[in-house]
Amino acid sequence: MSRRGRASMLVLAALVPLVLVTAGVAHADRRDEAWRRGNEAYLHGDYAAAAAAYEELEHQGVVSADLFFNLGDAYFRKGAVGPAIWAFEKAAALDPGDEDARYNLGEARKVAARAAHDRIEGEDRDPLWIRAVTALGPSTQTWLFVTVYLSFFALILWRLRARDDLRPALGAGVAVLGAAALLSGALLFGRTRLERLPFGVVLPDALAVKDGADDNYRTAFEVHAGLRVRMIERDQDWLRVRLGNGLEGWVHASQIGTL
Amino acid sequence: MRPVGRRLWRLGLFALVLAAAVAPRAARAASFTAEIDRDAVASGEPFIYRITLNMGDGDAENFRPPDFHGFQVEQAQGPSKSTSVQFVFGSNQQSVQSSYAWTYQLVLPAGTKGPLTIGAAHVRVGGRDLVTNSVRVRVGAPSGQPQAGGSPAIDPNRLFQRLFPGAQGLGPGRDREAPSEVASSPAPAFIRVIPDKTRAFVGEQVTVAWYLYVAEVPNRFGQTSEPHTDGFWSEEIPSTNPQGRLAFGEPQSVAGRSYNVALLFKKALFPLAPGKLSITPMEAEIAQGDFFGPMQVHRLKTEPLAIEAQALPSQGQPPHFDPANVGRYQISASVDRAAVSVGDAVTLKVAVKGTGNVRNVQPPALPLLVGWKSYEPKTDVALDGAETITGTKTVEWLLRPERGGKTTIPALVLESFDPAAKRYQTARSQPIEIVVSGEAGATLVAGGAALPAGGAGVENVVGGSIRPIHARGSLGGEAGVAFLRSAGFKVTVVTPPLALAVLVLFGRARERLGRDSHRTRRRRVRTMARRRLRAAEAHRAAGRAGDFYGEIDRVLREALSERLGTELGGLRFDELGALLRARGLPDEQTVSVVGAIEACDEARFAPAAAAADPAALAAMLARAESLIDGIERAALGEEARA
Repeated sequence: MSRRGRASMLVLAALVPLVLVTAGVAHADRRDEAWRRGNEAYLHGDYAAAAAAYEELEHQGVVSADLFFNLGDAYFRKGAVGPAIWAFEKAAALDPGDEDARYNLGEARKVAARAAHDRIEGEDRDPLWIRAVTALGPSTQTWLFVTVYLSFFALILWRLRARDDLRPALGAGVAVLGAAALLSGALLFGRTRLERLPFGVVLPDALAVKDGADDNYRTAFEVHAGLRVRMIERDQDWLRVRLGNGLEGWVHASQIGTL
Repeated sequence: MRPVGRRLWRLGLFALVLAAAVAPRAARAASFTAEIDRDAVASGEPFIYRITLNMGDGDAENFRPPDFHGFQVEQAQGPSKSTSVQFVFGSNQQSVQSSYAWTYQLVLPAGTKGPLTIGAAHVRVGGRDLVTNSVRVRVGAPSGQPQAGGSPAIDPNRLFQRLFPGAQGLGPGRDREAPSEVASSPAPAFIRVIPDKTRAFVGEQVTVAWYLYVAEVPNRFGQTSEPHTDGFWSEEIPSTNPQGRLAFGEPQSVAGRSYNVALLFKKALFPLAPGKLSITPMEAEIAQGDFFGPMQVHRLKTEPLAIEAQALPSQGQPPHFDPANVGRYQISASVDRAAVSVGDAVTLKVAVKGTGNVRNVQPPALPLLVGWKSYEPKTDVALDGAETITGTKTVEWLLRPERGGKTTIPALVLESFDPAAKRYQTARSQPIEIVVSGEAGATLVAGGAALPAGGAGVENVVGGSIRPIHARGSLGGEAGVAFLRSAGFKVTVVTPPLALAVLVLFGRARERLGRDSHRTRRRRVRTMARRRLRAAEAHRAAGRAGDFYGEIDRVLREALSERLGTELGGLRFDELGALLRARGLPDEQTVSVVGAIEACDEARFAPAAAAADPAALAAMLARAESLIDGIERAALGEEARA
């Protein structure tokens, strides 16, 4: 390669990371701009505009407990109780330690219950594994697993090269970290499994659940805003949902907010 | 123009002229008109809309009735046709005149505002499209109250009789044909579903009634499928039927047949969202028969009913208006005592009374009462049981003053939308003053700042609401979730075990390569021997006999040491010989090796001239090479470092 060609390659190699970093910064700026716009609109009482700005971020794939919390507030103030419950549920799932999200979720559920309350007869609690998997937020779970997992391998390496007198203690440490890595890995795996068969929240005030994936089917039963349902199957625009007592039916996918 | 084209053009022109002259004759002579049988129509009162086509000889085709939007079509008949033939005296010609009539019995749904217009009907006569005049229907006062059971006030059959004077004929010179039935002959039983309106605002009441029409009172009636009212808030209107049984009113005549009519049930429906909402068909079975005959079972099914729900108008809508508050409401507030001691409780009762979806109406929230503690309210709904849903929703708050003074509960404001008046209204309660005795007084104004007395603080009771947004400067994402979904996570999971496996395998390979095996020792002996023999050769060439023999001695000893895996430094020649024999070196080879080492030893210390004999040096070099080769090949026994 000529000197000129080598120089061009060097410039290109320097430019590519620069462009990527600039694009990343621009993206973050746009994100923050929409976030601030939403907050401003909310604080001025324009809840529809606030919800639109937050939805814009959500459509960009931003995953943030704060975003869903604020979106829930905006929906609630707009009078859209079902979507508010969905957003608060999302915020609480992302950060189970967020007291505000749990409080507002309770308030939204109270408001929804004033209009209609679904009492599911014979409803079972969520299975233990689901409760265990959702006890921590996904971020916390990820970092916990990565830390324990890498520490486990680091300790193995240390033990391989350690003096003979240190090896028993290090072996015990490897066993403990191995068990912890296995447990946190199982929880993370459970989380990914749960995301494949997620829960959803009924968005409209009242929703007819059909016997089949078409409007012409008989209405099997009716549910109301805020009810948590399990999403079992998808058929184009229709979702098969299951209630806590095992009752199933089909609804329009747009009527359910995925958790 | 070419001759053929010109001919075709003329032919076309001729055809056009002929068509204009002949074909539309019937159409030109035709009249196509529409009329109704009265000047003004009341809601719920049936009336007749009639379309008449008078024409010459020919056929009428492609008849299209007008759009009856806003009307309920109760019955439709036609076309009835009459033809008259007139002979012209003095000539051999006859004139044919035909008349068609289509008749509709229409009803205006209750609550309809007028005037309404029925558009034009269309028909094709002699290749020409004819349209009727549109008819304007003025909505006037009802001409009579509905009969028991919700039947129409006027017997529609009488109206049809008036229009079709059956037995009397049509007069001289007219040939009459019997009206052809469009609908099938009346069924022995059917269910009719009647809404009081088909368009309503979201939250406005639509009363829908289901009536059973039976020619003979059935022995048994059973509902097989209930109508579903998805999209509505539904309130059952209490039945007036005795003990839930069917109560048949006076017989009614429908299309010439007398029916017993019973109200099945009525519902008050409140649309929950704008759009076209549907009430699914109701299905039922009746069984009829006498004592001697077999029982006949009829399955009945209504048509689905569509209700158009309109969104509440945005014009004039108060901010944060609750769409549940549709109706006409009044609000009142009261307390069970106007004077209270600190620590005692006062019950504030807020009652919202009126017409609408009372169960769903949202009373205003409790205002901020400084210095008061409030508890979870109790809500109660009482409906009056009337056909139009009316009632009272009561919310009771238990309030406890924590400081003395005077408190004013401000007027509570209820915003609602009145669908009848089509406007938003505001109802207000009266402010209430409560005097709290006990501690030193302070004037407390709800919603305002407290004026503490005596230096003591007051509790600021804030009504329940959601917590405010997290207004941080920038939006922090969930990095853990992003990492979990990225390829970096997979790399993080896969890399450590792979790296560990590589390290372990590499260590094992190194250990294996470093292990002291037969092969490695032989290889080492060969390498060392080659190096020493080259050095010995160099010494021989240089004539350094002492160094030469020293090198040969070392190479033989080291070769043996490597093969035997033990140091041979301190051994005497007889001990060396014994060791070699013990390890399985053949006797002859042992003697030869030990002898060569002895010879080297002697030569190193012999006089220089004797030792430097080139032939002896060459012979010793060859002998050493042969011995080393023998040592390498020898199958020695157990080795110390094996």
